[in-house]
Amino acid sequence: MPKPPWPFFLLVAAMLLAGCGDDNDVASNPTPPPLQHCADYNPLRNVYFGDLHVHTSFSFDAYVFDVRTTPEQAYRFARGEPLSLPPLDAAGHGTQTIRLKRPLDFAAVTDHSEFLGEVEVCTTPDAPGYDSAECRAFRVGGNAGQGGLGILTTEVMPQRLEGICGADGQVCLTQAGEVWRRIQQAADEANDDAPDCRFTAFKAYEYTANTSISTLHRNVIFRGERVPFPISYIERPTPQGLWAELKATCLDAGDGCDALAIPHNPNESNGKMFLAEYPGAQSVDEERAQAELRASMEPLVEIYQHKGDSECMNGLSGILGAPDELCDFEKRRQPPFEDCGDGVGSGGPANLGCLSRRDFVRGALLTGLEEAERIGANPFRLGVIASTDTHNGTPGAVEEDGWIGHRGSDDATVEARLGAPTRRTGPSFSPGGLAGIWAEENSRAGLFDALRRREVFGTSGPRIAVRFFGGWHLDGGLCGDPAMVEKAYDSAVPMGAFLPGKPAGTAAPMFVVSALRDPGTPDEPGTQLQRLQVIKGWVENGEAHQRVFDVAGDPDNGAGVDTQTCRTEGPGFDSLCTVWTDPNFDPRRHAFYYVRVLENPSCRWNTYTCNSLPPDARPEGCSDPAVPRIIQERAWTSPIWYEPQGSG
Amino acid sequence: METADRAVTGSAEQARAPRRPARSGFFARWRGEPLLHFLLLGVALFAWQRWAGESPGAGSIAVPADLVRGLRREYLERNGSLPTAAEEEALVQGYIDREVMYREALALGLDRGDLVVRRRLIQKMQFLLESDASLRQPSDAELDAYRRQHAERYATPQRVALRHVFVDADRHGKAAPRVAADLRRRLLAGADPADLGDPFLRGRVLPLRSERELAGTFGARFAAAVMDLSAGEWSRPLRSSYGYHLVRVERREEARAPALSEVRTEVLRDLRAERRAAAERTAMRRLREKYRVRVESPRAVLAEVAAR
Repeated sequence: MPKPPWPFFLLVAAMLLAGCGDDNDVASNPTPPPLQHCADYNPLRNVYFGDLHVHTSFSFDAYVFDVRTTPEQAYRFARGEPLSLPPLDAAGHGTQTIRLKRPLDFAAVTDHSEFLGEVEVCTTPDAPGYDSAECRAFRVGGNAGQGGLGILTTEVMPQRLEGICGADGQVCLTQAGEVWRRIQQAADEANDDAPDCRFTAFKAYEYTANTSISTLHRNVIFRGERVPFPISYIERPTPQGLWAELKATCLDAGDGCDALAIPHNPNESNGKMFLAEYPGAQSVDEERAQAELRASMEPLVEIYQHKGDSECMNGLSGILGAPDELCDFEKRRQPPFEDCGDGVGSGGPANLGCLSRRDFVRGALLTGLEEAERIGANPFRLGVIASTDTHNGTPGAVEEDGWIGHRGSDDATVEARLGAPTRRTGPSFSPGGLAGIWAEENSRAGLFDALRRREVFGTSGPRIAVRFFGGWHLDGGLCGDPAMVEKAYDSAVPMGAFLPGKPAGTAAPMFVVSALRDPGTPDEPGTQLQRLQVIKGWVENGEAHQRVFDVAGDPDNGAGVDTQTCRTEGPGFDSLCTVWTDPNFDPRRHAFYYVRVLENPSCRWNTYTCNSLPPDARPEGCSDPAVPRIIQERAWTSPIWYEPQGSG
Repeated sequence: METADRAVTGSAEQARAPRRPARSGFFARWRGEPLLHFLLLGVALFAWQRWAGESPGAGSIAVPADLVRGLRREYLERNGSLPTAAEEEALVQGYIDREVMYREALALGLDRGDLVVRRRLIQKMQFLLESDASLRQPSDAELDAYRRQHAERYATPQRVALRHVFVDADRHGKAAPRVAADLRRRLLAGADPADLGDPFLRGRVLPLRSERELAGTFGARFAAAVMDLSAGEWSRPLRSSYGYHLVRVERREEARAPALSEVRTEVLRDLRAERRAAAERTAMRRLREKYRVRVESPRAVLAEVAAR
């Protein structure tokens, strides 16, 4: 490295000097992380479970439902401490207390960036704007309180409300800066650095686009301490605007900043979230550049959370292959509904408008392959996680038994959760899931880098551990080899990666698929596994195909659950492993493979709740045959991709 | 210059005050005398400034060399080079403009009722109240006393590092206990554990883990059994959620209160936080004594909350 010229030192010195006595920075970033490994460092990678989608009282749509949990409390909850929640008593304190049976390894508080300042102004007497009609409406709470602000996230050219924020919106932006600093401080304080590394807390927020009433939300997760001001839909009302600004203010800032965005709830996007669109592109080259930018900013998708499953859906046009009965899982919408086909619709957050194959991860992955074939770049190289999207500030509260809802007073009662469905309450909601990460150590850098390389998976709640490797020369006996993991890393790529080029003399890719069931807690032993599946998607003659392979376990093991007692019955597996070869491989076709791990059936949350009530106190959802009583919990891995040589 | 400007503004106000017709000849005679006006005005202004707590120099703007140096430094940071003489002059003039605006804004009371300013001032006051406590560096003895006082907070639980050989119950079915017993014999005879048993997804060599962490990987019963093992020996087959494991504890770290040197950062952070909070409480109490506080009908407020 060449010796830096002396003005460089001068500059550094000047910056240091400028830092002295500058009290703008008081609350942020005390010390840089020490450059040493965590005590749990393991080159073969450990599995960590956590939640990357958590709202607290700083989110407008949580505050209006009496949620008063702070980010500090949310992180403490993630680490195993108790938390009290609405309904509030006369003194304004929560009346029910919950606590995680098993603490999480990591979490990210992701409050909506849009109204951080507005919530602050509207809840601080004396603030200019506190007495505005808009703030008064907000403080009424509930739907009305939420709607006044929320409507802005559906507008094409949104503007901050003058009554709250002043004519130039500056009041709210300044306040948002203050709130953002508190959020950062909570993350820094909860983050446990080396050597112990017992918990990782990311700085993060949610970018909340509901353009033309379709969900286009993203969680933005930062790798380190230095982070730019949160980008919001109000200032940047397109995802392209979000990526460009995130790139400029973080990735390209040259100060070590790194970030990624994780889209969620494509199931409410009416075909828009994973539409292959390249606004303003004049040529294939420009389309390719946009596809590459998108893929680098958004390497992941949240496949499941409290607003339902986004893996796959039968009955939508555009994908060939036998129906996949296991797609019928935690769906927000049931037939009949309109099929968007290749187009888009509107109304998703309210369960309205058309549904598209692209509203589900499988369809998005297939669209990605089509684009790779068409322009030589796949914009949807999506790894997979799950999380809760709790609006109670309760990361990781995913137990079916004893679920108390996800959004303050809105669904704090059994009647709200199991009565007639509304836009945000009713039996189709659920506790949500967890993100699983394979990383060398439990640190921000360790976990973030795993997110970036997509060596991650999602679960519908249980702590199932699943490994998935693909390669061209795998030893068929790996499942009996004590050194399986070492050898798999040596000879194959892990979940989230692209297969290396196909060597001459090989016929088809091979995969190691292996899972351990949730070891459970002393009171609840966890449910056994039923089977492992590999889901393959490929594009042939311009048509998208899917196929599901049962690769290990026993789909007909006859296991079940007694819905009166919730006791599980029948045989199952504590662990499953197989080496599988694609029997229909065509080296000319783009393809992806991902794994679905299925547990034996168990009771869904509503069955526990209904069983705990006297028969005459059970709401209608307890007897509605359309409400499933049983759930088959699961895990989904990130895919492994195959690209024909000479393409892309 | 500045004084003169203020004087002009001031004289307009002053002229409005004695509107009523003059009744004595003395006043009538001096009404047309500008010099006296100026003198009177000066006295009034001086008195007002004293009363308002301002020094007579408040109307002048000094631009000391340090400040200019600061402006040059900012310029350097932004542009990577030092300003030219003309640029520097522009920086100084810009500073003066902003200072004038700032003072005028204060004079007009624009800081009052401004949420941002209010917040900032409250925050500064907080820092001021806390600063005594946070400035003083706690001695090692104080830190150690605090650590001992809150021993449970800094204690590390008992932890073990282990190696295990796994026998997959699903793979071996009823034969699993026999397979495990056989593997144990081979281990005791000196076989390399790396070559034995079934693969285990979550690792066969585990760095230091607490009982709770082990329970999260293998199940609670297994974790409890492992904590009782003596180090360096291969265990009997232990049942986990997944099958049988032959476990050798490689290293055991007893539950302990770490030395101050190991947890110094945390202890310092906690002690400082506690002292800051205490200092703020004390100072708040002291300051509050200066005020008479009257809260209007708290009952009504409570009733309103309850009604919601």
